[in-house]
Amino acid sequence: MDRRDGISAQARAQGIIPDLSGKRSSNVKVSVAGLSKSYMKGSRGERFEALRNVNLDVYSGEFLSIIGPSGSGKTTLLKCIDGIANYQAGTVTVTRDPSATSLRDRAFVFQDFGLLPWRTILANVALPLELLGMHRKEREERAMSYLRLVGLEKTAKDHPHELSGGMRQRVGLARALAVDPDVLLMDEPLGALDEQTREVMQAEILRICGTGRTVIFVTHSVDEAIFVSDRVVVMSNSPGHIKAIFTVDIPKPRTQLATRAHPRFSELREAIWAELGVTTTLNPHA
Amino acid sequence: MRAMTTSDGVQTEQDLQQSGVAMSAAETSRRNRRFNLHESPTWRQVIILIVLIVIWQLSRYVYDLQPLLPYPSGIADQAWLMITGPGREDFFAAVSATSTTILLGFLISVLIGTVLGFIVGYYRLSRMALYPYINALYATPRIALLPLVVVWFGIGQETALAIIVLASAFHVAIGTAEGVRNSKGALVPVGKSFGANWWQLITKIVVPASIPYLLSSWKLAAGRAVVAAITAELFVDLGAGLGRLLSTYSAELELDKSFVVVIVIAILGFAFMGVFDLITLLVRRAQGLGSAQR
Repeated sequence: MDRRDGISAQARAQGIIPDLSGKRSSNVKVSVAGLSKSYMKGSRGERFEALRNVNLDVYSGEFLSIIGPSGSGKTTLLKCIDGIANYQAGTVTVTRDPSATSLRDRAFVFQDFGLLPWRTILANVALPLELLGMHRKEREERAMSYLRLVGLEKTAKDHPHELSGGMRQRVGLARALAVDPDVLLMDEPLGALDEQTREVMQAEILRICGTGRTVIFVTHSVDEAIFVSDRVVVMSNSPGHIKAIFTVDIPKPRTQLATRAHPRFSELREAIWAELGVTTTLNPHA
Repeated sequence: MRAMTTSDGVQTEQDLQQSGVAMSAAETSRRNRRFNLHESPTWRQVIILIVLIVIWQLSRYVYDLQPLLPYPSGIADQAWLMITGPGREDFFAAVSATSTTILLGFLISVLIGTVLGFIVGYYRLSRMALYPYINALYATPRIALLPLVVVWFGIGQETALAIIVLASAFHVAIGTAEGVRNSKGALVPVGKSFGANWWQLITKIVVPASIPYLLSSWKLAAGRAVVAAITAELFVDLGAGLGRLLSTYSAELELDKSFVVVIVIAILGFAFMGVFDLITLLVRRAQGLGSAQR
């Protein structure tokens, strides 16, 4: 299976990505159609086109990574999907499974963790439940079970500043999972961590959300994107648009060493870098 | 798969967790130590004070500047007389009048400043519209407005209150705006993302995130309020008050008594600002931050 999805140069330039997996389209979880966003930037008030006509379908249970240079709008796209950023044109549709147990359809994991420093770890994880009006006892029990899932039940009474970066992001992950979201949105969640912790956390994320949960994962790292994903979306800048989509046909479950040793890993790595490389030569300052 | 993951990472992960626990233990012990040490600079400060007082007193035997310069022994005598002597009701009336003015003016400043600061900090459009004016007023020497205030408010407590508000409300407003803006950048998006409504954003995120900023701005404002109250009393005769007492004694060249009043004012200001240090410490402990840097 050769997995550079066949997108014509013209279609790519227009940002139109054809849906190649017709058989899965009944299972579309998140549908982004014709999304465009621009905003005033800098003191001179120049219009910055963050996203132009982005179309993307994310399938149910899929782990999708978005990768691209700075300014390609990958974080902006994620925030538009979450609804914390607004946009001028287009639609974002999240299809909820009618039988779903989720309390919210979307939950976000922040790059800088976004923990409230005055709250205990448990109260941080319970925040989304508290905002939903869940009673204290119920929400604390539920938060505790998700803390247990990320292996941090012993830190429940601590405060965020007492934890290491990797532990803090586990809390961020537990908080997002506490609402059992239909779609988990992660914005460079491991960007602030050191290399070793990062690799440990990649495996952790796969263990916790790699099965059955729909995840959209923004990252700077090509290796990370391939390791965790079913598909990798490559974005490009000025204006931000989708350039290519790769399917990672490496069987799951995956482990760091075995995945990196897989022949497809280096092929995909090369192909994705090639897509990114074109961008860097065109925009040396990007 | 789990086994493979183990060979990959769990060892490292355990190390990480252990180091995390160790760090939190170190953090706790550092906090305790810091808390105990908090008392220890005090005795050095007291020694410096005593040494200065002794030098001041002894300098009299080198070159006596009386009555232009009072000496600690004379000041102490006068202080004792003012506190216990026949005129002590006047003295305590002055202390209580000035304290009341300061407290009232401060409370009004906090009220106005917090509302203004919140509006300016939370709403981008109002910040763009109002911030330049707040900054301009902040930079204006507000003592220049004193004659105008007297014209507007006449001679009475209102004048003193207006001067205090002018002097300290902007500190509160700017501190509040800073705190609210800070929370808006990093933590409000978190609340929004998890579906918080306006009220939840304010009560669960913006207010707790702004508290350190609020407290430090209140402390600054408290100091300014003391200065403004005394300034108002020196310029305008409001009846009883420490400022009035000060100008009376100075005019009568009763410098010993003047010094007593200055010291009382200093203690008043120090205690008032100290209250906020104490509140800050308690809040930090309640928020679990200890005395760690933030």
